[in-house]
Amino acid sequence: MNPNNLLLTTDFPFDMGGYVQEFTYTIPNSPDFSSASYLPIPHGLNFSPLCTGIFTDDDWNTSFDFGSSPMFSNPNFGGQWGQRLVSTVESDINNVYINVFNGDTSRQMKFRIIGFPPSDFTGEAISTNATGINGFILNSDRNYMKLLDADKVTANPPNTGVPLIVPINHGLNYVPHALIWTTIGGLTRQAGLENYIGVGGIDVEPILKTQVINVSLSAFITTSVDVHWRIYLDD
Amino acid sequence: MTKINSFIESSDFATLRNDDNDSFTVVVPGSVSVAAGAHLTYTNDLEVGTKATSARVKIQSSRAPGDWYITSRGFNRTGTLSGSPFGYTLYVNYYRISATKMRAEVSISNPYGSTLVTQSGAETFTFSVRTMILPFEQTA
Repeated sequence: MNPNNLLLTTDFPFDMGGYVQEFTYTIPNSPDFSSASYLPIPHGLNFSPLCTGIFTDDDWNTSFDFGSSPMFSNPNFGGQWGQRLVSTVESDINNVYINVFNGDTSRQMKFRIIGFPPSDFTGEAISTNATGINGFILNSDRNYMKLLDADKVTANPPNTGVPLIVPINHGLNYVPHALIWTTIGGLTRQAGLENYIGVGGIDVEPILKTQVINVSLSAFITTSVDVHWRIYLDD
Repeated sequence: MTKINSFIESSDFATLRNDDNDSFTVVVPGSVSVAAGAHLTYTNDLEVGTKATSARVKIQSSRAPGDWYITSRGFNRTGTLSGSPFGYTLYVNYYRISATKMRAEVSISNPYGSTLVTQSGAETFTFSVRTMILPFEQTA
């Protein structure tokens, strides 16, 4: 690096999306969890992106983060109380997968996904530079989340019948914002949403504290788990 | 709005930018009766962020003020059903209800044939929200 070429420096990097895509699908009613929509989308990347994002069923007048949506009495389940729309996003080395449980009538839904490269990815990535007024990357009119740490650890649950706690120390003395994912059996998902659509036995619970993030892996997980994190200085 | 004299730097990769941040609470009363087959919902709405933003939310219960959670989830509590101790769940959830507002929601469902009485005491859920603008064309 030639210091004469340096234009901008910071102690903390910003989020850089290695995968930025928007999709529209018509999602049929899901009479049960086994008939939830499962949409594989080839991503063409040489890594499994750490995905997050939002979705809508009314062209963004309302919107939901993956794993969240209003509750309702589901007529398919005898009026049982539950989320009306459940959607999660996951990835492997080939595809991004959108999962949708639609407790309501068939409807058009839109999904906006941004995925980060895993912390150990060192290869070349495909440009995700957007276009238009929101295509700029860094603008002094705006503020950006400051990334303190992005890393991963591989945990091997001992299969002793008790949850395994994976501690991620940050030492900030306050509770930061953080994004956490797990990779189990080659599938990377947002931590805490692993079980959302009819998948059993892989409960993961991240708990943020002032010095540490404890990621609890349920006793039923008996395979190795990669825990990925992105911890921000922003509280 | 991008100003002509603002410093702008680009790279090959898009990012998210901060939009707004705030916090709000939902208070669940200490003891309520939920009729057989019914549910109760407690909500609070907050003016935060703009249309089609992603929310990074930390959720805290007053029962464990040192612990913050980052996804919608259920909190297991104990009440009574037909007078006997019985477990129930507080479903804690959040979502955007308009271009300017988010809703925090805590609900209790009683799918059983008798009245459920919650007896775990009053509880306050705090939602600390940062809304983020994703790198897509904004919708009108």
